[in-house]
Formats: sequence, structure tokens, C-alpha cells
Amino acid sequence: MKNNLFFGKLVIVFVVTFFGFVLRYHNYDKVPFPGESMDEYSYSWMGMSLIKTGMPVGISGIDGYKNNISRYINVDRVFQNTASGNPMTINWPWFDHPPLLGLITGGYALSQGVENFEETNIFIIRRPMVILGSLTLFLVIILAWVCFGFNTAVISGLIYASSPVIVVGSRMVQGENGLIPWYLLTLISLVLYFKNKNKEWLIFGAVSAGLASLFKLSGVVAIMSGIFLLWSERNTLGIKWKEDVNKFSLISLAITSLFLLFGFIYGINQFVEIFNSNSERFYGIGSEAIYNLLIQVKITNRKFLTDPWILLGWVSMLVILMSNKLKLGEKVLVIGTFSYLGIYLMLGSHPYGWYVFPFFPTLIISLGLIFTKIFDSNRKMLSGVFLTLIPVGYFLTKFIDIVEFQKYASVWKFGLVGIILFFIAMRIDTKVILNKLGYRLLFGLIFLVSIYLNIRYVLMLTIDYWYKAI
Amino acid sequence: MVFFLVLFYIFAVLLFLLIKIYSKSEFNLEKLNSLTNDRSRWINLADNPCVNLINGEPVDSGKEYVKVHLECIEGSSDNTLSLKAVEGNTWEDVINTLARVNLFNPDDFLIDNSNWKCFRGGVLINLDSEIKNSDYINCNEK
Repeated sequence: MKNNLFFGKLVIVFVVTFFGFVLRYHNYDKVPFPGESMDEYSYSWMGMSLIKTGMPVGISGIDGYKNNISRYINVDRVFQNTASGNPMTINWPWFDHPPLLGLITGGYALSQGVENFEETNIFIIRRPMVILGSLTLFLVIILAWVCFGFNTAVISGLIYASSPVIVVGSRMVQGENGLIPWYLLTLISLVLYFKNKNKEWLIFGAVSAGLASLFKLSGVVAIMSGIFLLWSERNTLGIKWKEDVNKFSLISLAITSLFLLFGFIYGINQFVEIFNSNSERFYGIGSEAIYNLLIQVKITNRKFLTDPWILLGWVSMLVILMSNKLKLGEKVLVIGTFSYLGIYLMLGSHPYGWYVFPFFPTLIISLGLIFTKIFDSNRKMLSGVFLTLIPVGYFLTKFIDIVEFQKYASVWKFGLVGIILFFIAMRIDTKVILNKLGYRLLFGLIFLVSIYLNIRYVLMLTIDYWYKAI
Repeated sequence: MVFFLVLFYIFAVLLFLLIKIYSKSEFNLEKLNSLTNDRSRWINLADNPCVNLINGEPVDSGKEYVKVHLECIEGSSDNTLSLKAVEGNTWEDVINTLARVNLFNPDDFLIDNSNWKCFRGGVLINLDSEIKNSDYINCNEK
């Protein structure tokens, strides 16, 4: 019986993951437009050239490269569409970022018969990203499951699978999309280590953390979070917690140091120069960085996509943060989110969307946790209804304009006021209660409507829609 | 732990040597040019050179640009190319680069008895003549 139940849960996890995969795959090569971020090509060219010639070659805008050539490489006809008119500046050896993501997308491109940069079309190089994005979704569900149980896992999974900004963002060839699965594996491994005290999990977590930083240096969030988590669990780990921290740090940093080795292979002076240039980049996120984190995500350098799920994630994170005593799962979310906030504020150059992607897993699990708590208590229903109406109301505006909405205005006004009054009454007088099944059905219905609207919106993100989008 | 680290760094040094040797034997400018300059085998060339144009201006190139206006029997196309990305210093090189970006066959321009004539400041030019910064030519299809 227990085995059957577990098997059933596992099936649900795979169904949610597959649902996320389908949404990520839909129009994956069209939205965002090819060339809206040249990084997508640059990563892949670097991997391709590294495998083919032993030399990493890519596009960079960073000062300090000695080998520069300018070329019009009209992959995906970008010079007729999204490119600015400037030719691409090709540099080698390319040290902008560590090489692992490029090796995946570039290696995949080579396996598909690509022979030169102009053939590295987006419909090829985004395919591994759709798989990685689905793997990330699976790991989000697993992390939520090991931290908070199955219900939170499914709720978080449904939101992560369908949130428009997460779906669109996860298709892009960006280092963050490569580091997130390893970062999640680190967190999952450490939670399992705390629960089982099995050293293999600690080592696996350390290896994952090291690998995260080989996708992009901001992947050190996995190392930082790991160290903070071990520290926060020092009472349960006992006297050996410092030994664990040493072991975790040594293994993960040894793997990170492979990027330094990469620099030594091609010229350490150039490597250091690029590293310094990178650290002196224009601080484009500015003082409004945190405000922008809450309200909108700049997907590319031109397109914004507001997604209320992210705002709700932050609200949930703050609710968790205000608890008097954090449990293990909550510590994972808080440490993960705020470690990355530190890195984001430290490294943040331009306010592009992909810099914020690593916040999404922990924020969405926080929201999943809060929703689960709301499901379990009718006294919290008012806040649940209020929270879910934010995405429902926002996404409705995408399908029904304000003039057409007038037809439904009475239903909206009286329906909402009715629900609000009912829950106020419920808060004042505990005799006014809806039975457990009733309130769960009501809240569940609103939640499912919000997921349905997510799906409708993701399916609406076609070339025409994206072109007109702000 | 120490054993692991020693093993790891032995592996790292071997990796270092392997990549170094591989890169020395495989990388050269010819291969780099092949990666960056070869045309995709999967594109269809346009019949009409005026179907496409290069979007925008190469503002980062300062005065190192040339403008090419193509006047076809059907339509026209205005393009600004950065000279930084043109290999060579003749108009022929510019047309070759433009053809690569705008996906047409440059042979239409470059063969003897071509249907195309190009003018700079109203004066007919040979495509093997040298280019200067901020030059502008008009090419007309007969």
C-alpha cells in the first residue's frame, strides 16, 4: 500500500515535469527572438570552438582581450532582425564565463552536424536548455518534497512549470540556467545529509556546488549556501560540523579552481585581465535593484515580462523570514535566497532577466509552502484568496481588455466582495465556518484557474505577441 | 580527503596538458576563419539582392563604415557596413561581405558583363577600387 502510494506520487511528479517540458518546448525557438541575447550564440560558439580547435572563441564586450576581430555572422538572420547594426566582436581565448554551459550547447550543436558559427541556429542550441529547464523543474519539486512534503512539492511544481517568466527564461542559453540544477542538487543533497547523516550526500552536494560555479561564477551561491546551511545545522551535526564545512568547502572550491586552470592553459595574464574587467563592469542594476526584483523581470535587453508569481514568491519569503524559529526546509529557502541576493547585488551589472533566474526556485517553493499552509487552515483562507487573485487578476487583463471587462465587472465586484465578507465573518466568529472540503475546493479552484491562465498566457507568447510586448 | 585532493589535482594537471597539446595542434587562424566566415549550408540565397538589408548602424565603428545603396529592378536596399568587419580594402570585398550578410550571390556583381553598375558621387567605379572611411556608393541593376 505504502509502495503504491509512493509510486502514485512519483507518477504525479513526472506528469508535472512533463507538463513543464511541453510548455517550455512550445515556441522554444521563437520566443525570446533569436539574437535578442547574443550570449546564447556566444556560449555555444565557445563550446563548439573549444571542442573543435581546443580554443574557446566567443563574443565579448569586455575590455582587455588582445585577440579581437569583427565579423558579421548572420546566424538566424539576426542582422535583418534583432542585431543592432554593429558587427560582432569575436575574442579568443574567451574567458567571460566558465566553459561548462558552452560545452553542453556547443557539443550538442556539433552532434547535430553544425560546422560553423552561422549554422548554430537557435532551434538547435535551445534544445538542451529545454531539457535542462525541465530537469530544473523536477529538482524544484524534489527539493520542495524533501523539505516540506508532497503537497508543497506539487503546488510549487505546478507554479514553476507554468509561470510565464520562468518558462520563457528557462529556454535561453544563459549560464544561470546551467548552474541552477547543480545549485538545487547541492541543496537537496545537504537536506538529505542532515536527515540521514550519510557522508556521501555531503560529498555529492560539494561536487554539485563546485560544478555550479563552472557554469557561471555566480554559481558560488551553491558553495555559499552550503557553508551557511552546515553552519546553521551545527547543533544537529554536533562537534564535527566544522570538519563538514572544511570538507564541503575544499571539494567544491577545488572544482571551482578548474576555471583558474582553464585560465592557465591559455594565458593567466589575459585571464586575470578579463576577470578584473568583469568585476569593474558598469553597475547597471542601480539602487532600484531590489524594487525591480519585486515587480518585473527584464527578460532580454529590450523585453520586460511582469510575472506576479515572482512578487508572490517574495511576499512568501518575507512571511517565512518573519517566523520566530526556522525549520530546516525554511532555512534552506532563506539561506538560498539571501545568499544569492548578496551575489546578485555584488556582481550585478546590467538588469537583464537571467541574473535573477537563480532566485526563482527558492521563491516559488516559498510560495508553495505558504499555499500549503493556507490549504490546511480555513482561518488563513482570506490571505490565500487575496494572494491568488493577484495572478488571476493580472493574467485576466492579458486576455480581456478593460472595455470588454465591463461585461464581467458585476460578477467580479460582487463575487469578490461576497468572498471577502464571508472570510471576514469567519475570522470574527468561528461559528461561521465552511467545512474543510468546502474551503479547500474554493481555494483549490482559484489556484487551478490561476494555473490555467498561466498556460493560456504561455501559449499566447507567439512571435507577434512578443514583438508587440514592452 | 588529502588523497582525494591529490588525485583531483593529478587529474587537473593531466587535463591541463591534454587541452594545451590539443589546442596547440588544432587551433590556427585558418580554422578560426572557417568557423567565423563559412556560410551556413542551410540558408537559401535570395534571388533579389534588395530583399534584405542590414538593420541599424554600426555606431561603435566611428567613421570606419561605408554605405551601399542597391537599386534593383524590384525594390532597393540601404546598408551601412562597418569596415572593421570587411576583410580587404576594395569595393569587391565590401560587396562580398554585404552578400554574405544579406544572403545573395555576389557573383551577380562581380562577373564580367555584370548587370550591375556602381557609382560614387555620380562617377562609375570599378569594384576593385579602394574604399575610404565613410564612403558611399550607389549600385543599380540594369
